[in-house]
Amino acid sequence: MKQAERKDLYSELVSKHATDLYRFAYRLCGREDVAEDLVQEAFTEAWRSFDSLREISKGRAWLFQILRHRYSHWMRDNSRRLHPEAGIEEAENDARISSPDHTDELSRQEALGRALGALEDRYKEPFLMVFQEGLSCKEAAASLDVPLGTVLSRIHRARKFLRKFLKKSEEDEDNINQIRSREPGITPFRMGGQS
Amino acid sequence: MEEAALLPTEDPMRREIETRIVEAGTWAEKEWLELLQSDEQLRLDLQRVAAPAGLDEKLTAIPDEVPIPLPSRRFWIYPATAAAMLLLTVGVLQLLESQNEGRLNTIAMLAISNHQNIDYVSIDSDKEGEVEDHLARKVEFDVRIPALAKHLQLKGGRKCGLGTQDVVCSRWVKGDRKYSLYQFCCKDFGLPGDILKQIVIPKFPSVSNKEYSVLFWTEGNCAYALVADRPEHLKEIQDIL
Repeated sequence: MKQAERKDLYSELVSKHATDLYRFAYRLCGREDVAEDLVQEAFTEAWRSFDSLREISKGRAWLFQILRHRYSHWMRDNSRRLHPEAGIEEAENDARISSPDHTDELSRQEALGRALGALEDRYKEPFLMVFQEGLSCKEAAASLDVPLGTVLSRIHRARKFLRKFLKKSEEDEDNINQIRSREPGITPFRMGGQS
Repeated sequence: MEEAALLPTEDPMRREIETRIVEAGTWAEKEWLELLQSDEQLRLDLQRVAAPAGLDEKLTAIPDEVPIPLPSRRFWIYPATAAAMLLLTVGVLQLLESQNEGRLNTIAMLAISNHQNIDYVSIDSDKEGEVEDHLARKVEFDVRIPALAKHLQLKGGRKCGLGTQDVVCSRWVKGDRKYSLYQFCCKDFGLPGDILKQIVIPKFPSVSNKEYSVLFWTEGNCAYALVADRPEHLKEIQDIL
């Protein structure tokens, strides 16, 4: 492939998929700076190994696969420094929202970010592959090389956990608003306890 | 019901569940619709992430900052005789060989990245026949595990992808050494069916930040790429094969 043609096809992949890849990376790692780095690394690797992409129509799947590999690499390199994710069993039993700052009001987006941060990768990754990347469960199972039943089960648990976490967040939000409306000027402690 | 909502609308299992929901009555329909709406809300919520300003521009600049090495070209000049034809043929074969070198380098990078980042197997077995049968059901080429068992211990295997191509991977150990063996079709990667046994150490340090190296060889219309953590771990295998 000529250099100019390669560049044009590469630029097409950037314009079509860069934003979606960033969103996916952000939901995986929960950090804007890391998400941007992951996307840059993914596209750098894509550019270097562009010849291995035989059909441009498969470019999206290819890029997401590279990104997931870069994320695994980052997780492995940073596993000692990251706060270990709670197991989903532990998180399901104790879906409390903790905040270092009692005055923070958790929006749904913040709650979603925290909920995803509490999910183990084996639940989070297939969930995001289907709900955000847009793969079917069958495609996600093939990509992860696990049975379809396993993917369905993991996504189901991830979804159930997220709904519980988000519902608790909304209930806490309502309680805080009620307290504030009764006693303006009082800063309430977050209901549900603090870990 | 919750798992069925994850399946595409045309999936037979989902259609069966929907039939049962309709038979069950209004309460079941209400729950089903609430479930679907909740899923759509999650999808929308996940999309509410703004990409940083200038992201596309930064990514589009990568080709200018990361050049791809061009295959070397060697041209032979001959006087206008039959020897010129012979040397032209030799020159074309060498050009093809350098294109192959570029492709092997790319495959080596992909294989090393896969070896580094993915540790699980979909079949946990030390029996070659079992692993072959398991993997053969997942790909469209004949899966043949080479005779490495005398020197390495088989741990299992899985199907995976290198780039967009399906390959099979078997995992091996020897003491604390780990190996990944990839088998794939030569034509899927634009390779000829007769690569000589050779060790490739990719040229891009960001991928091979240790001294990962890859031993390539072909058997029939398939190629093998054996990844090890160090080149000397491959040398002894290369001498045995």
